[in-house]
Amino acid sequence: MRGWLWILLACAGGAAGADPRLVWTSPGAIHLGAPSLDGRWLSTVDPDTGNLALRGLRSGEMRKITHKGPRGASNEFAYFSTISPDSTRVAYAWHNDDGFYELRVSPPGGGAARVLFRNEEAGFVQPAAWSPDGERILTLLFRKDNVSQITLIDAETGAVRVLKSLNWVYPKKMDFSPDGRWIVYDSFSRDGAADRDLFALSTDGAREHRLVEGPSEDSFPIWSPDGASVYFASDRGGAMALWAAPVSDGKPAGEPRLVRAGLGRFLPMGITGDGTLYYCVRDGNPEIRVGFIDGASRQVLGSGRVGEGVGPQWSPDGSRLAWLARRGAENFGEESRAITVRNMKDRSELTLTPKMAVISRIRWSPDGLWLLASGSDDKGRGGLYRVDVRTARTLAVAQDPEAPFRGYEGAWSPDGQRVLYHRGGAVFERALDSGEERRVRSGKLPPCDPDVRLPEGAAPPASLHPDGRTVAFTLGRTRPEIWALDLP
Amino acid sequence: MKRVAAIVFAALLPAAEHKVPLGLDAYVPAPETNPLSPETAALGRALFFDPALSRDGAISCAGCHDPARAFTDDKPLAVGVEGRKGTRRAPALLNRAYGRAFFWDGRALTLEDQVLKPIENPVEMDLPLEEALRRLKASGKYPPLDEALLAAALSTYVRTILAGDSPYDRYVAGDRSALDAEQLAGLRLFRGKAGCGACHLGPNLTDERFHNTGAGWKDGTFPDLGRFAVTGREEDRGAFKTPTLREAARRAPYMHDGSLATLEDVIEHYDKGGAANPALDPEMRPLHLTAEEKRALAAFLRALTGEIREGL
Repeated sequence: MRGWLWILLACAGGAAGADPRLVWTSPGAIHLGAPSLDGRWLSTVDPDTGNLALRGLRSGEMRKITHKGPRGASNEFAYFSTISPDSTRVAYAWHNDDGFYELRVSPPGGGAARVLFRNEEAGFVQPAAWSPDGERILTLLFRKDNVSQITLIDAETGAVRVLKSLNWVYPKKMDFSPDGRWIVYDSFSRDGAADRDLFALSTDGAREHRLVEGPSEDSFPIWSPDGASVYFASDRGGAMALWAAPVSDGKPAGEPRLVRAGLGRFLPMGITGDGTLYYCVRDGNPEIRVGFIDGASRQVLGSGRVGEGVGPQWSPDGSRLAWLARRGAENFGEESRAITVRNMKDRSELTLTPKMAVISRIRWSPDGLWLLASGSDDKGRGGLYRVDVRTARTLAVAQDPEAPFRGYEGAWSPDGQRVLYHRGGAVFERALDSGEERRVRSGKLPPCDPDVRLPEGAAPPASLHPDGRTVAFTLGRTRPEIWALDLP
Repeated sequence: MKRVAAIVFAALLPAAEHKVPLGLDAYVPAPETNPLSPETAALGRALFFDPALSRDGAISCAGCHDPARAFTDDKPLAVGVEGRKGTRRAPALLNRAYGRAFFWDGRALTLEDQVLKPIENPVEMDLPLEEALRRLKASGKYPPLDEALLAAALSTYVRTILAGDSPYDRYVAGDRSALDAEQLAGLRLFRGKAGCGACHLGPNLTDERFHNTGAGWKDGTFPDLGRFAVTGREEDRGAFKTPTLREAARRAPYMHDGSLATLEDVIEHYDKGGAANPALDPEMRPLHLTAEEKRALAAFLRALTGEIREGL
């Protein structure tokens, strides 16, 4: 049932040590917004239409800010958003009909939207926070050359000031200090590292300090309303938890302290003026299940769990099952994935971590030595890659900066010497030895989804075992929840 | 005396916000121990152009890093005092404030560490630092200097050398008329089929990493081991730091050894997939560019010529 909600009364609201309270959960709850400073609203996206919306944090009211037609009628939809400190404007990313994102500002009661920034060269925008005086919007731009940029965009003129450029792996969150002199963001601790630290960058571009460091994943920083701390998610104590780092004049002022553990897979969204932290939790994990098929009805009769993940694929000889497993810390976008290869005889598992940022789908080669992986490489280039099943060595098959980050849909030729893939509405064939490519006239990839009626709640793709009687599939999905925590 | 006055005057100027050319980050990294300041930059500038820092008093830093040639020169290999020939080309000192490693092999991790080394290098300026400081003191042109202040001043000046505001920058900023059709076709190739953008990316058009493109591979070996000499790792054999492509058209000849005379030669090198060798970077592969595509790529590279600012 879409749209159902829970609003739990705060237990001892504002008191130190209060328990988190569930504010909103719904299959359609979208966590790409932030609470208003006055704690009345949460900016979000109406899941049915893609319109920008405000959800009343006390009233539960859902107020549409934009008024586009139903999904499917156009390419337009709202994405990340943030509410101005005086709650008179909402800045948001708007996916336009030309296929890229622009930065818009609208009044919260609806009314005409103003396009503040529109540039296809920086076709992804993520408004992160308003300056305390409401004059600038801290915005992440993502450029066509796979560079992300921390920028300040003038809320009136749209003039852009690029403070700092980063590589394509962009900060998970950025925020202003309450005095407007600093911004905090998370980024890799150094070039080539996998862990993130927190940095404070002065808004005049003159100085930068490392606020929080260590071999841990430190991310999603949010400045406290009094300016004395930065709250952040970190696994520095083992599991991911909420921490706070004392800060003074953009510099560390003491050791980080644990604020709250046991918040699950949480993503901090913002803090209200009275010190309530709102965060999203991804509850639940999709399971990989293997079930038997009734020959006549093609229904799955029963199934057993073999692991957590998505997109299972049987090896050609049926001895191994590979799937995509979540790895690393949470983020707003596509989750980071490894490939699990399970030997179904001895139940041993091998985890492959190819040099890929995004893997959306895998397919075994006919000889069982490679997996064809759709996604993006570690430089953010979308396409098709093949991953050595023994070593995780990753080779590009078809790579294109214009390719979607989830990559191309592809399939092996029966002899395993070529790969067929969809690009721009056509099918191409790429020879693996020579790299030569030709357009295929038939224009169709070999079918891969089995003719099986999967149980309710199952998600494609499913994979049919070579015995024709066993199917592997994914059951369940994560459920977004919005929680509130009164900070001590 | 006139120069001293200029330095003193600069020191009295209020520290204005550092204006960077279009296309570069407003945040110009500098160590906390050596923040950007107009007075240090002015001192560094005076030192940069002073030939007293070379053994024979004939060449200054600007001798190889000529502002009129985008802070490099036109020689394939650097030429030092008494005509001594180096083994590598003088790199262009553009946007080094944003750099993470210095020299072609990245052996210096900070500009402060880097800037003094050419003074002492026997095939460059060949002057012991003690002697350099004695000369500067004797000249009466400078405030009291020690090694740290000399490094701070020169590195600060180098940090102020910024190149940007090219047609490419204007295009990326949203001016759709900044590139003509051929340059635009070149940009698409740069990011796509030619794959240049795999390493030449970001505001400074470099990943600041080290790659073996086969440049310098001769008779089955690399006379210059490049990054390998720093790390000892096999995969770094023959690898050199990706240079910025800013002002590329003004910076011939090309590559770490100046072995390619023109931009067209560079494009041919990459079109062939570089020179095959055991440590060739996996990004290198034959590109199969047509003659028209090569022309477009060269046209785009010429659109990276813009404005160079120096000083504060």
